[in-house]
Amino acid sequence: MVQTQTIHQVPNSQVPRVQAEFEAEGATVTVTPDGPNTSTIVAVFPSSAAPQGAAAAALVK
Amino acid sequence: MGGRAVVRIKASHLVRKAKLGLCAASVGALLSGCVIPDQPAFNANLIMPPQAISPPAAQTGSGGAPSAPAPAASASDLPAARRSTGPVVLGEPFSCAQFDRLYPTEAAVGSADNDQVMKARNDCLTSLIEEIDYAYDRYEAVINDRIAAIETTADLGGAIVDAAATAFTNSATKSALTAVGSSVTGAKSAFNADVLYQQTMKLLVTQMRADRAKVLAEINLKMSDDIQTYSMGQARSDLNDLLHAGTLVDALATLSTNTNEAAATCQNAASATKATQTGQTAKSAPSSTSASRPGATTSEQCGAILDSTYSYTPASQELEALWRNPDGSFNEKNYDILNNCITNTLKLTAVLTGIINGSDDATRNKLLGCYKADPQVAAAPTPTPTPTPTPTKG
Repeated sequence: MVQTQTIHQVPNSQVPRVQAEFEAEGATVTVTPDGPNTSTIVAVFPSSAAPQGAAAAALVK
Repeated sequence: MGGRAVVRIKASHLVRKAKLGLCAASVGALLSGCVIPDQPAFNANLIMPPQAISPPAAQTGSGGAPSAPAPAASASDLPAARRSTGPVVLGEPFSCAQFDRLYPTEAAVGSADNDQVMKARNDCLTSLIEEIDYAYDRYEAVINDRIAAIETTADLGGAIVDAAATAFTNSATKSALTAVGSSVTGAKSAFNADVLYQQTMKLLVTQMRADRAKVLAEINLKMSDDIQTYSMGQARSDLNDLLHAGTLVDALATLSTNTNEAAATCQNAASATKATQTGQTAKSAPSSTSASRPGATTSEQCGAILDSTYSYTPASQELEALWRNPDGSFNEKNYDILNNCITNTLKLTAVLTGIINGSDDATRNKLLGCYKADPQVAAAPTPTPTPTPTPTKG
């Protein structure tokens, strides 16, 4: 099952940090503006279980 | 691959169908009819009446109000291909048949341009999803209309069977639904009719919506995968799941208490996901409910779709510092400890980054407490404070 985490109204200045953290957890992230200074982040994980550390570490760039 | 390929079916799905009395042949009939060139594949008639159902005769006895006309689809609402009378024929234009013409074998898929194959697959999916949605809308309208007409004075179970038997042309499916209807009829004799009406039928319809929204969200996400990751066979299997998610059989199988919340959450998440994938602006957050409850989702129905509003506090920073080093790298050991707390100790339906950025301090503090109580952390030697140089006397 796909696991999806949506966070609304993320300040644009924080988007790179939040996006990097989700990606480190193994998620595919999409960002969509939801206001003049904020965005909605949708993180999609490949399974219902969050990726464990090894997977996260492998994704660290 | 190709239309004659054996489509992979989730074993659990088949087992579930078998338990519910749906023979494998009916599922096979669905799949064997799916995406065969020049055939009206994925037959919506299995879940839908071939045309708008006539309203039942007016019922006036026992205070029952005359029934409203059945919500026959307006011709102006239908795509041109469907405006003629007669059965709903899926796939006009039938882009899935085109997929099989273009890519009849695995080798053809492998040698083709990935973007073009993905587009052909997604065109197929979009087309059939539209058809299934349309069929489902009609199916639900029929059920709702029958229930509204019957009120609580008529035979609810009979109505379900009647609507379903009219809608379904497949004999095996009819049999299964007849069994379902019989069970509902039996339930009616055991429970107050009002309760049955208010709870069972509303929940059944809402459950169908929730199940469909969940499957749709998954399909929408997978459509961004390449053909190697998400093959046409997998797409067909998902379409089959979508089709079955809109049936009373599946709704009965998955029905539980928080269905209304599940539908809303799943649909919001599905909308947000679809919007982001299509480049549209996502809907604003339904903030107060989910934002204040991290991982507060409808885990039993929708499970894995979480929705919250951004929140970042000192507790967030503390959690983040455990996982993210100042140089931007990540601490794998702490990540594992924190995730163990989330999953096993606190049993939250959440992900760490979601808690850090879209949660509340009560949850964050619980997670911090769990982390500090972890044996690996508690047993770690306390860092020796750097000795302060003793001022020398001059």
